[in-house]
Amino acid sequence: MENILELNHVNKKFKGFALEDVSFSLKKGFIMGFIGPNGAGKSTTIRCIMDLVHIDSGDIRLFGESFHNNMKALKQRIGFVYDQDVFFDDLTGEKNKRVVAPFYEQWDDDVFYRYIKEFAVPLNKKMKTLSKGTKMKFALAMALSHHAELIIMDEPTSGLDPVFRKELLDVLLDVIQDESKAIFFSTHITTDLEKVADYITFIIDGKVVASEETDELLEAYSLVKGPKSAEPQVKTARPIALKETSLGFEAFMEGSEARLLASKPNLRLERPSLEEIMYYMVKSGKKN
Amino acid sequence: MFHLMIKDFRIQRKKSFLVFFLFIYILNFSNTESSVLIFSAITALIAFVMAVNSNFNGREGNRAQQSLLLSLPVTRKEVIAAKYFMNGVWFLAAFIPGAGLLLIKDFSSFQTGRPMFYLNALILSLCLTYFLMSVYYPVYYRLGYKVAQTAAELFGAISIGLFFSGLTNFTFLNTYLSAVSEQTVLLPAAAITLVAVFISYELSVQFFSSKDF
Repeated sequence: MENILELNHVNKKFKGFALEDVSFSLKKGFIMGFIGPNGAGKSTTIRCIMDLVHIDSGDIRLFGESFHNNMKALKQRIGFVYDQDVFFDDLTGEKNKRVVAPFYEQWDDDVFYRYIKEFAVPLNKKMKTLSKGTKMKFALAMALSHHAELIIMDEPTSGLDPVFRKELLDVLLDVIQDESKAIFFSTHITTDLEKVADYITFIIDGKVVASEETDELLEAYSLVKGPKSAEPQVKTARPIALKETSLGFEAFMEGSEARLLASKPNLRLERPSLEEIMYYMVKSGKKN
Repeated sequence: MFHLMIKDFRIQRKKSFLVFFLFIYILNFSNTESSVLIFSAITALIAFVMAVNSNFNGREGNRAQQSLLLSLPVTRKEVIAAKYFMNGVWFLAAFIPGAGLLLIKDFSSFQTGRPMFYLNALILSLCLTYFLMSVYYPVYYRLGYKVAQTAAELFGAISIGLFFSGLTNFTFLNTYLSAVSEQTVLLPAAAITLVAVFISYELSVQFFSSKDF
């Protein structure tokens, strides 16, 4: 199946931070979650994809084409949502729409007003008077109203209440019903990703440490829990991280290593959540 | 590029239009040849203020808005080109009402037959407008909006102050312009402006194209 987004060995150096050899790809019809701690390079990677930041080396391909070839035409096919207020603060939502919409050949007012109604965004108020959540809803409506094939979102769920976060995930699942589309979004709220993301790309300190199917990633690691007396047994199995708890210990391990301990009666194996994987990977500083 | 120009018009702050009150000054003109300079300077200043203010809309500042712009289907070169073309629109927005006001004044005082005044004023004010922009935009794209905005506001405030402090401030220029033919001034002015705009445009494209947002 055709890759809609592909990053190959992308490097970008800043003062005190660098994206190093970032590679991953996203196929049509799928949702990819992009996770990592603050400052890991999520927003920078997204800015590279959008050509807001010039990469030093590597290649970014959108819809099978190198983005250097015809970024203007490629952007017609991308919907974006950023984590900062990018719209014109002193204008109302309606006026912002009037500024942005003419740039898109396939802008669809019907779709826009449908989302605006669905998300209950007041179009007659200036952007600066809207809450962060409402601004995010507006940005989402803008991103979804020109029949974009690739939706790129930087922290779209931050600042949103749980009810709208759930609604947003439903919207994304609805969008992805069209198998010619794909969604790439970064978030801190990993529980959201477990519900909708087909793939997870995990970045730490500017390096991609994992990019695979969500289920595979969740299967790749295990949490092993047991009493303190069992701790030496687990230590010999080389856990990635080990934490003492009030009841005993909790070890974060490679799934294959953990399964070797499955027969031990005093140990319990659990599938970690994405949040736990992220936590332990960051804590242990594990890099591929 | 047309949409980029329309964007500048749509995001223009309403308070920017207050600068058109500078035309009140024109009503006090004596109909001497040297008033071409005053008229042109006022027109250029109005166009400059309008153009500069179309770059700022909101608290988030310029970086966020550049992120928005560059995420739209436009090239960086088009963004710059639109700015330089839009200068012409702001110039016309300033020149037409100003010239209209003068025409009305001329007709009401039964003074007609100075078409060269309007032609000279058109050329000189266009040159002045583009010359100011040629200085402003490379600064804006190289040093950022805060430096450019501060410098532009300072320049605008000083210029407006000069206008309202009286014509005497321009005595040396008036004397010089009376001594030479206006056409003698216009040709070099046009040539200098053309060169300045060309260099300025190339610098702006270079600065903006290499920037990360």
